[in-house]
Amino acid sequence: MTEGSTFVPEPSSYASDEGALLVGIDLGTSRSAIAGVNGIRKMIESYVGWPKDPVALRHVKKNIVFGTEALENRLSLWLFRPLERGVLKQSLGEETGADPNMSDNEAARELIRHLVHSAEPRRDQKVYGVIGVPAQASVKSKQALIDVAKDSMDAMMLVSQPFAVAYGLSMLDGSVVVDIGAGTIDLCRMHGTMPGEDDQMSLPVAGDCVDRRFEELLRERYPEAQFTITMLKKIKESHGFVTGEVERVKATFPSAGKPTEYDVTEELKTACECVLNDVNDALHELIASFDPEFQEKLRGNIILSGGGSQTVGLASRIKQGLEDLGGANVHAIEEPLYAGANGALRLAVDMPEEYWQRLS
Amino acid sequence: MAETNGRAKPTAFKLVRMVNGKRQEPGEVDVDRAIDDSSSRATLEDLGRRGHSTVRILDREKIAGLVRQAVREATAARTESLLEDERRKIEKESLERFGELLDEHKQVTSAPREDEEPQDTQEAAGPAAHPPRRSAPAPGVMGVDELVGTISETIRTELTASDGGWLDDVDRRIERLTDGLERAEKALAKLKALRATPNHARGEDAAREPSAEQQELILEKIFEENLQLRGTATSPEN
Repeated sequence: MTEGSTFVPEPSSYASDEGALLVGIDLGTSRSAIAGVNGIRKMIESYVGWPKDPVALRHVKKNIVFGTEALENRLSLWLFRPLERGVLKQSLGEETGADPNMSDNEAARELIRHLVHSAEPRRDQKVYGVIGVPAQASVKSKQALIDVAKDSMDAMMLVSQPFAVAYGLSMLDGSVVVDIGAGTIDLCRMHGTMPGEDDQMSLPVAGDCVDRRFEELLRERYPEAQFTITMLKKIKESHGFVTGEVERVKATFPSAGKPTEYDVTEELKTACECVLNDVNDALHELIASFDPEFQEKLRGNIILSGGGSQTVGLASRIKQGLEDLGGANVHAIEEPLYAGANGALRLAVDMPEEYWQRLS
Repeated sequence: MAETNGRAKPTAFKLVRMVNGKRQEPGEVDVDRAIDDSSSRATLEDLGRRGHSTVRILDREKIAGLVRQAVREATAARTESLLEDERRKIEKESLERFGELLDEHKQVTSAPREDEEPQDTQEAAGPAAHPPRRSAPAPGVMGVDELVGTISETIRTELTASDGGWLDDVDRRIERLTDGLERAEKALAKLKALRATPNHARGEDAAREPSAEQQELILEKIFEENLQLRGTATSPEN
């Protein structure tokens, strides 16, 4: 047998055997992400599915399926998307044939469990986590989230999602974070202290609205085309834009079963633009209602995060919309999809140990 | 081949079938048949009648050595690919080589006698001086079944040792590479997760890090808000 293995032993852990694993979680309507202090980061689509029958179980080979795999096998599954506008749906599953034990709450519970498991905590290691929630989530929504998450973590804290983004970026004074998700767009102005209710706004029009608008426009123009909203979402995520000269966006959909190419450029642009007015109005309100001595500072640092921030030309269109206020600097951050989880993790790391002990 | 001392025939070993030294299509083949096909039976009287006063003897160790040599030569050429196909190739080539070696050491080439009763002793190995016996082989003499069993075991051991060694070695290398890659990815992810990423185009009045005191207040407020949530939390699901 050969000798000379050069295994490098695992470095002494910042999450030692005695210490807990600290994680930050961004629980999104469309995607959820986790970042662990052990360096592990995972993201999955926020879908959970249970096999419909024994044949489906044999096909998927699992009792429960998550993320993209659940989407790809959705015809075999009772599929749940447990979050709506960034919070738990708290509704029952489909009535036809659904097991009453399957519900959006159960799906949320399993989704969180799956996320935490994917961060690879050691056996018997405690897990302490910070979870981002929409800026104006109700107390009821937060309590429901605590209820489903407590099975997966030994202690957890909830924080405003845009605040978590700002904290992770160390931009806690003189900035506005605009977190553009699928369920909500959350805005938070930072001025060196914990933001209050007046500093935050949560808009119900976000990525899902863009998808629905896109679907409406395409059905109007191409009534014979066969497509699902999932297909349109993929097109939007790959080619979404609001400005600038772009190549024509062509999509292939079946038409009476026959694959047919369609030009969807104009419809895509119009759909992506449907959030612009609401974002600009919210920014106007947050800036205009702020201390006039510091308004210019706010306009100078408008940060876009979340999946929607990747729409081509979005930053410049928002900047144009603020010209009447004297102009603005608007920028999309690096790693917009992990910004929330990263910021939540940083909060978890900075949180004093005694706070975790008291919550566990 | 007749049973010897009540022992069962060796289990068929997965090898290429050899018939008169020629390779057959792959499939399950009896080692004993492979030996049969490349050797012939003869009694000592026959040997004597044919003018053979001395015969070549293959003792147990020699046969095992031949098999090991065959396997080593067959496996020496292996440099890559440990797939099942390769394993079958190794087995095939091992037996081919063994057959060739056996041919080189054939005792007597004579036509097999179909009416001959199966003998259980020294046809393949044994001192010519001893008269043929139907009872247990003499000390130092291997019965045919025992011979076949030894050959099967030797080939099996050699292949397992060789392949196992290779497989273990490759497994360890893959594990090392995978482990190294995972560590690098984790380290990179950790760096990204924990580093501050100030906006790359800050203006003059850029947002700033909070002071230690401010940070303490922020964290305390978050903690207190969460305590309040616990205080008014209801346990049953909505």
